[in-house]
Amino acid sequence: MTTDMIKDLLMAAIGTAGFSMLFQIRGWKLYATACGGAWNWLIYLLTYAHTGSRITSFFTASLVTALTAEILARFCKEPVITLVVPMVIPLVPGKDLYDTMLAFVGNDAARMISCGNLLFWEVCAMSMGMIIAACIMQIAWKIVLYYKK
Amino acid sequence: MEEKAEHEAKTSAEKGRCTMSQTDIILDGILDAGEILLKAGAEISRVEDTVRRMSVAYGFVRADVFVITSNIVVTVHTEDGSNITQTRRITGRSTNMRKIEQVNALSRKVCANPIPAGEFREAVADISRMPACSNRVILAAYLIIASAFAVFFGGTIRDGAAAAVCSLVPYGLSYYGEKIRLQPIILIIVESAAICLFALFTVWIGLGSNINYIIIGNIMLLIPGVALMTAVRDMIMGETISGVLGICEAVVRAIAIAIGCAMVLLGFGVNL
Repeated sequence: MTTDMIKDLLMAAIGTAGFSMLFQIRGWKLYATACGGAWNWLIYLLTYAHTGSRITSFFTASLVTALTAEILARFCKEPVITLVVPMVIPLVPGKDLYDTMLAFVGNDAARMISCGNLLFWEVCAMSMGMIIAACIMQIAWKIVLYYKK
Repeated sequence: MEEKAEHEAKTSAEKGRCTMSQTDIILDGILDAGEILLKAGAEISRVEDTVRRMSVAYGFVRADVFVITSNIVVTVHTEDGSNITQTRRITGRSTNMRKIEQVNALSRKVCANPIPAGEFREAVADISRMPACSNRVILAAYLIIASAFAVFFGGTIRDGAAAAVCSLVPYGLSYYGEKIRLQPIILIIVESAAICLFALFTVWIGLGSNINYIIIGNIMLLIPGVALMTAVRDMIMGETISGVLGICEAVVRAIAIAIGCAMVLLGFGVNL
């Protein structure tokens, strides 16, 4: 754990809290989503340190975060979307979108393609993580309901 | 409890009102609730589910609900065999999680115990009138987001400060853009161009050092991350049309941001 990582985690939490404010979230959920943002980035950093692949890290981080949000939403009887959307904000690939645009402006086709490719796969990995988390929760919930009866 | 609702309907009929209009009022209220949900950025499946559940709770025999990003169509069958159809055109979405929560709570309440039509309409109207955050909170959110993400993506503290100053520009523009009802896409192009201009200015006066991080922090404010995530969730739930619409919208917004930035950066011949 370097100071750089701690700075990143702190900024992820603050940035997520900012978005929660913009989405009119109030009360304890503001803190919950801020912590969720930091938790999300922690998973990303740990996976990245372990595998060295950005795509894998994006996938794992979004999967774990979406699962956390879904479980939390079930317990609090809140709509899932109000928790999961702010929590995955740190994964929104703003930098890669900007880099792609910059390469396009700079007439650097090779860099544009490599950045655009990375951007595309990051978005895919992020969506995939969320899809799989939703599937896991649905299956688990159906099984719980079945045995409750 | 259903008896109570029936009793209410009967007494209002005796007072000279037609029961038909009573069902109309209820359906109108249900559609209002659906409209609030869709405008606040809920998933399509949630809107459909909520409208269907509330219709059944109010004693309609059957409810056929079709929702896409820009439209709600509902046909309900009443017990006496007639059917009523209502449609809503939805324009403009802005994420408001608090409204989603409130409608969700109301829907839970109604499904457990259908409240009288008038009361229901009042409750829905209350949610739609609910005041948004004050401008001060929105401004604080803009400052926080821009500075935090400028530092997050690798800028220094001074870049963060410069990004915070820059974020006053998109805040002001979105405030006035909403006032004069500018098209969202055009507003995004103008905003991103203005952000780049102002970021150049902050570097020129020596506040920030790396223009890239200042711009990225501010671009996070415009990026269609939420639209994309909602669209993906819609796709998972089997709402393919709405999912594709949402993804297209997100791509168009991303292109709009790129156009805005490119105009300024090309114009000033910034080589980075």
